[in-house]
Amino acid sequence: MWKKVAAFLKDFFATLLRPINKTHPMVMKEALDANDAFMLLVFGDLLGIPNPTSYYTLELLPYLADDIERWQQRMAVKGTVLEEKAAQFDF
Amino acid sequence: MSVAVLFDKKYVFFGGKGGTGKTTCAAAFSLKASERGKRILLVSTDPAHSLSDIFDKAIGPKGAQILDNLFALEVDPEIEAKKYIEGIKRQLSSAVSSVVIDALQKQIDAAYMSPGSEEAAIFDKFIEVMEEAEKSFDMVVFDTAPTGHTLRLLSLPKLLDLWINGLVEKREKALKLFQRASGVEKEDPILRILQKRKALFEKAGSVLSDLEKTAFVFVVTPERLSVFETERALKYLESSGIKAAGIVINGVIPQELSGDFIDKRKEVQEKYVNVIYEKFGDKVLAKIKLLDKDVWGLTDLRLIADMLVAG
Repeated sequence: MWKKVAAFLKDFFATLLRPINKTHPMVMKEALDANDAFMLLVFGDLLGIPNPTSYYTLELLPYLADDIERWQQRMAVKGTVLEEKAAQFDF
Repeated sequence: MSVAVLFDKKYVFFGGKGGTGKTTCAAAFSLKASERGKRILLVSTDPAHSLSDIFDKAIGPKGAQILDNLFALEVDPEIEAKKYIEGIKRQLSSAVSSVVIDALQKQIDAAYMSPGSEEAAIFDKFIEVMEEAEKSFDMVVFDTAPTGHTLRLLSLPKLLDLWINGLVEKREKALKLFQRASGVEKEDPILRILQKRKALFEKAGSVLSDLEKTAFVFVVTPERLSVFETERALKYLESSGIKAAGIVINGVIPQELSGDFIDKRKEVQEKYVNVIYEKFGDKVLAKIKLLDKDVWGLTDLRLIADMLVAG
């Protein structure tokens, strides 16, 4: 009996929690977007946007070097903003 | 008044239009202060240095001792930038693979050659000198580049502060979202570096606007261009939160001289001396007479120094 109740409760909460789990990739996506914006400010000159403070952002390079290539590719293959946003929703 | 009111300051800047006598006044002032027992570091931030010429001694970016209590240094932006870049390259090679380093070489070179890098390098050195000299010297005297360069340099803390705040904000936002998505919290080296930078810029900004510790002296010749440029510079500085402490009028023709040519020049000078008193009367610290010789070396500088102190 208690086992059944426990199993039911487990299922119940798992169901309750599912939407939260589902927001997880969306939050991750938002985090990536925020970080892309940060990268753009720091290394915009790699995409041809002049950056007057590139001398100072250089000291971040050792820590961001591994991300740069992926970021550059992501920026290059990005479609429209609308397409990006639409992909976040499960239509 | 006289420049003696500046002897208890910690940082004194000499600025003004090119050729008005910034280096001469900064050197003479430093000499006088050092002979009064203060330990002085005289720093030239003008990429076209003149300190070596005026003291007739090789000074350079490593600095040199001029007298017991007087040290001088000529900041070389190229060397400073190189040191900075080398440091980053070293850090890079310990952090990422050599393949990535090769790919980033372009990025590093582009930043090194970018238009702002020289002034950024001077600004960094300027902060470093202020930090290091705080304990080992009683006063740091800056012989600055002509007006435009210096105004830009002095307004950098405010500009860079805006920029760095934007970066910190963006990074913090991204980190918060990453944490929410992954549930993992860890220290971010990038945020740490940005905050260290921010602290440095803030420190520079607060020193520059600290009227107790810091003073700006403009060297003006009694001529139209010099007077008007100085007026604009003072306004600009005030808008950046920096107040000028004093004006030194340089190159005044001695009263006792006469002759057609001299009389005419004297008339012009008198007119602009009056304009200077009208515009910045309460700020005038000293009037320096034109000498009949080229000023260099300790003996000549002492003549100027005496006039600076006499007012």
